[in-house]
Amino acid sequence: MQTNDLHFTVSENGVEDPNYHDSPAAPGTPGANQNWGRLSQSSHPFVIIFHLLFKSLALLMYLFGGWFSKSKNGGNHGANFIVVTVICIFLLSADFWTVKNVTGRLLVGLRWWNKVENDETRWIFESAKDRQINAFDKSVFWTVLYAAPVVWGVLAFFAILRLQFSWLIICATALALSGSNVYGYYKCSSEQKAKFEQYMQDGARAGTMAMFQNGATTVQNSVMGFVTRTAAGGGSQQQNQQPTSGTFT
Amino acid sequence: MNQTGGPQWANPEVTRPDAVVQEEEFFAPLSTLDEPVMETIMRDVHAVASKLKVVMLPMERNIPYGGYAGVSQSENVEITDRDKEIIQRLKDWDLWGPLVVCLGLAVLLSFKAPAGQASLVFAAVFCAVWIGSAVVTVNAQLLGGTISFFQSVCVLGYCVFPMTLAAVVVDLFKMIPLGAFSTLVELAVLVVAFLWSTRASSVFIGQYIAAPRRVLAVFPVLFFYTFLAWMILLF
Repeated sequence: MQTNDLHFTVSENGVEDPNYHDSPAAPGTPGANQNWGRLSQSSHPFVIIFHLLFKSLALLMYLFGGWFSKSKNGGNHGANFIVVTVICIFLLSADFWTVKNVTGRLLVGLRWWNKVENDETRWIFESAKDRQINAFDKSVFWTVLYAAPVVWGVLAFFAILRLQFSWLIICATALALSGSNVYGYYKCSSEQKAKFEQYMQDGARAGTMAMFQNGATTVQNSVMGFVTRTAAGGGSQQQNQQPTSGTFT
Repeated sequence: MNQTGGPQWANPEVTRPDAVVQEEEFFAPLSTLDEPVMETIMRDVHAVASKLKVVMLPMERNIPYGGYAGVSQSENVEITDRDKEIIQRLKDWDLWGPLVVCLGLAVLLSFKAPAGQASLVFAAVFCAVWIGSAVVTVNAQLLGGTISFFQSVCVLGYCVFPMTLAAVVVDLFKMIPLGAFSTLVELAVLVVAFLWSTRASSVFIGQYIAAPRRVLAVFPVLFFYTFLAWMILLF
């Protein structure tokens, strides 16, 4: 992939340069990037990979380490269970941390966090305004975010059916962690909606309208880009849109 | 770490014009974009380490009940400065520390458990810590305490740390052939760990509850740590 995505591009005021995000990634070079497929539509392919990585590892660990492997004395218990559980919990925590602190911020410009003021825990749900969100990033982010608790819920149901209550520990941990991320980002997103309506009522600032129009163009372009690439199997080179200033490695 | 806790962007200065502050408050979390991931991780690691250290601060001897003001029936609970400091630090809650402490204890005990029971012990300890602290917290809330759920779970979880250390110490003592005294030594270690664990946690729970009902809220805390100590003694 283009190495640009390894850098976080930030302008002077600490906001990511919208121009950088605006680009629905141009179709990849033929042959070289075929395997990456739709990932080249993303503005942050590496972030998407990390959005999926720990989740899928935990799921694989749970399925193959737990369901399909039996310890030598026939039982499903013993050291095997503990190792699988500990690894799963670490992977799930890593996923929680990544989604909460990194991927939501980069993919959809949302973040939820809390700070403690005296005795009160204040929850803060934030959404970036005037930010271009890549439609592909957005759909992947939300689909995966909502899918995680559903999948773990189904697995918990099967664990109950199989009367393997100790495996419920992993499912419960996964449900709690992914569920809180869903809740947190849902709150962010509904705030975003409210904020958006507020903007529209305020008399449609020029910036907001520009954002809306650009957003529509982004969707159109990314769809068109996908169609073009699938049809032609390649296309123009990736444009280097990276601004020269404020690049952090 | 700064004194107020949390990262720099969590504490915007108030001296600047409102618009600037609002703008910064809005974009502040996003400005950690340029922060290396290592820095973000180390911030959390430092927060956990400092809280674990604070839980292990030695007790103050020159106060009645050995610091157990939480169980006293008087309306004005005297909290020592050190307890105050511990509670204040733990109020800036996180659940990473409790997770690590609880996994450590569960893995340690499952190692020592008989072959067939390892996973059962692991599951029991893991569930006991999380469900136990949740139940103790809800109990305190139902008794009329204005206690924050996450803060309470955090305090209870961090206070398991002396128990985890006791499990290690008990393990070390097992290497020394003490014969008949071994159980006594283990018991002594666990009593110390119990006092250490319940000191901050019982005071923390107790200060939120009105004096007549305080024992009802603090008793489950003591029971919670007694159960863990008993598990350590068993295996």
